[in-house]
Amino acid sequence: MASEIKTLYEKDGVYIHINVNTHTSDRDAHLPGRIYLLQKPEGTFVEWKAEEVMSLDNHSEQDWAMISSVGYQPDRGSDTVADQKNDRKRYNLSFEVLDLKSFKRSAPSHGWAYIIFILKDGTTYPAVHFHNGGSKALLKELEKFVHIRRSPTDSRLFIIQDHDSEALSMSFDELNLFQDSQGDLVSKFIKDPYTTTMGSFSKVTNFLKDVLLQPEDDSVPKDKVVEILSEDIPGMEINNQDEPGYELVSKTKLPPRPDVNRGTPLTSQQWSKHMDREGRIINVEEVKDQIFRGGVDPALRIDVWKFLLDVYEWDSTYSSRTKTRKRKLDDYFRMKLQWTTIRSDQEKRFSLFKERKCLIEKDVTRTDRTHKFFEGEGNPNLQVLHDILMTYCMYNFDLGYVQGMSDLLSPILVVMENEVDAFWCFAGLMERVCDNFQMDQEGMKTQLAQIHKLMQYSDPELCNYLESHESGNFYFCFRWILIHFKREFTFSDAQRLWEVIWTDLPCKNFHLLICLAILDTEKTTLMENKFGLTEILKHINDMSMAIHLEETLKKAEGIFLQLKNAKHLPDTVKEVLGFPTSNSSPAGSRGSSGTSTPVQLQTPASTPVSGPSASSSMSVSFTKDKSYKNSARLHLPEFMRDSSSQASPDDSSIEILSDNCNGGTSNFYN
Amino acid sequence: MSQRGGAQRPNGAAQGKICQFKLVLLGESAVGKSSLVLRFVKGQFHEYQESTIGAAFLTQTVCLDDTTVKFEIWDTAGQERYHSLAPMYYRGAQAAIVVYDITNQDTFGRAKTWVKELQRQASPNIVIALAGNKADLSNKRMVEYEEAQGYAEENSLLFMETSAKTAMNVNDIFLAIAKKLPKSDSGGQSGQRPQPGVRLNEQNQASEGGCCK
Repeated sequence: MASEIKTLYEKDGVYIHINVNTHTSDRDAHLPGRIYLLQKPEGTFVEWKAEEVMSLDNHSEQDWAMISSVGYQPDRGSDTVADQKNDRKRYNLSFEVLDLKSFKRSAPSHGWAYIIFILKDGTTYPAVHFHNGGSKALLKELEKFVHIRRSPTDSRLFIIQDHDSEALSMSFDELNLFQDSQGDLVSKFIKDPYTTTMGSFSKVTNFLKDVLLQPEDDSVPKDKVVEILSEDIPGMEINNQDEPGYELVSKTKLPPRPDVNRGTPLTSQQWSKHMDREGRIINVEEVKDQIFRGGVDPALRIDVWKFLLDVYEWDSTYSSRTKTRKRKLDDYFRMKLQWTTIRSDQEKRFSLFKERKCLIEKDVTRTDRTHKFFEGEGNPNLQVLHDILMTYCMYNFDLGYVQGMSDLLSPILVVMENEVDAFWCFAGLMERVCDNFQMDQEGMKTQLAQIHKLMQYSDPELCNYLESHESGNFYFCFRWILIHFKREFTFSDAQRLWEVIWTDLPCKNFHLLICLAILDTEKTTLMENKFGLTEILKHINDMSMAIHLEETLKKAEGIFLQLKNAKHLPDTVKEVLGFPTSNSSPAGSRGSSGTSTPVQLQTPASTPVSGPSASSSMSVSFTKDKSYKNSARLHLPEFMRDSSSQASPDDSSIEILSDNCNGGTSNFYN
Repeated sequence: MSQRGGAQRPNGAAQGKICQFKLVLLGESAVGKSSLVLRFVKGQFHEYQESTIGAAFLTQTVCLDDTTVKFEIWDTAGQERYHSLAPMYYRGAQAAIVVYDITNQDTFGRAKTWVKELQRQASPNIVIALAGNKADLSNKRMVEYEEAQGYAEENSLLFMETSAKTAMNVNDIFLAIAKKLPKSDSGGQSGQRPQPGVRLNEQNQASEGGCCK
């Protein structure tokens, strides 16, 4: 077996950086390994294997667990050890060189050189970092098997030439992979006869592109054409005309994207300075602005999130908050009592309830189980997660439990470390995003359509590309939107992103601009790899944990400023972002630096769920509904209404409940 | 080093036919759809595999005599709430695996509903396989093998009990599907690419025409 495999290249000190804030900062590790280029009977393979830290025979299991589990209970069963071993192995990487579509190299200024490999089916591997060098040598070896071409628009991106276009790409072979030779490239293209042909077109169409790029059409040097076209397109706008596949090119209307800076997180010192003697938050807009710029110090989240999520009013006082807290505590346990008192015989005749309970149980066991807060068999925090979701079912029985909700609750529970507070924060978050979970998916469809509207204006080129590659419905953004990027970022980054979004700054639907920002970063990869429907979806899914949050936020704000400063912004775009439209009530607009009056925002929850028409739900007034506590959404079933009207539990009943219903959760109460 | 389950790639050289098929996984939430795919494609199993949100797409290639079969696998979210998205994923599929959990009778009922829907709405020649997953938990079995087998026979479905955890029958069920899929050259896979402006919602399966190139 071994003799059949020839090692063409091998290098150690090649790391995969696991962004496991999801796990714990202790394990936020650089996973060491080796990279290989292997000649096997079935083909040439690039492989990366995690280094075995220690042999994993029974004898050393315990030691290994001790080493790798600093910071949490080392008395884990062998299950966890096996999991950790698998954890490492799951990063192992192996692909046939023929499957390689492209790769990205790090910018030269970036510390360690890294390479991100992207396969033809859209698979995007995590970056492999060459701590001891060797990336160039590997690529030089690779070049013996495939023809590599540098992207003309993104100097970090390298595309593998298709086998069948090998002959045509010969003139590009002199391309020096390791020096910036883009200038040369461009001049080569200009000399190319196709340029002249193409240059005579005043209209550039994706249709044309597609026809010319038929893979079967060997008579056309497709890669050259792509490059020529891509060279032509920047700075132009392609408008969709009625004729399918035919677009007019005109100058872009967007002003240049300004650079924006991010700030530092709100500290507890600053927070207390923003409070008056009674505990009211003064300068709410200033506070929100700072949170928008830099988030909240993690230690302070436990306080500030309750304001961001409408558990407390900004102008509430210490004493009113104590009262509110007391009332919410009572409310919570009243609702919890409603389901904890349903016995099994009753449950048999209550299928809807049973169904929801089953769904919640299924999802609780598989939510963030690698996070130290939820890991391990019989972790009591799982029970809390379960109880909150069950109680939310009672709070909002019409909505029920929908997959994705446990993802939204988990980061909140980790911050609050308290069942009641986490519940009310979660309820506040759900008020913002409950449209995402409607039965008919209208809320999701509306938002995906809104991304389309925004991109049509902000980046018609990419929008066109996606449309002509079966992706104009933006379903590949479904997960992003549904759970507000929770699965795309590490735990702590997702928490940071959420608090930024919750400020409702700098405009309505900022999360959609974040989608645009990520897609802008991936634009060259999607387009130059000529990804279609499946590859786009796969690439986007694989980008999970590999998106740079702060850069993305900067870019999203940059796009906001571009749109804000654009002349003749279409009303459809204005409506999405909550800008005043030519025929709507004034909503105020926001200064570019982020210090003037913010747009009065409307949370998605207060949008009347009126019907399938996206636009009808967009052009409503901009008043913020602060009466969510009396939300009309709270429709308890008949039998519940009865009991809730009479059961306003006094303190003693709470005590009883805490004993009865909080089996493993006593550690939750301070 | 078996990243690729048991299913081996063909030799790089293009010998014989290459067929490409779209396969969709359907079934109630938490029956193990993603786990089956993960086992088949990467040879891995995660005890606490997270729920699928939206859809996932994976590919795996298997060798069948002189034919290379490439599966384009769509893995979907199982909850009823996301049912309205399912047609988007099974439209144009040449194969489907409908999964249930042998320890949960309800999931078997749901699997039957999926089969009915596919028979009514999906491509007429779709190859449907029924997978009774979590076969390693036979001490908690609630769905009898014979019951499921009988149902599968009545409806001309491929049937196997599988375990993504132990890898039992995982490659086998995909291979059985591959064998049953038509691999003639006459299927009109003439290499058309999707035309500009064609949306996912519309009938457009030219690129996955279901036959050999």
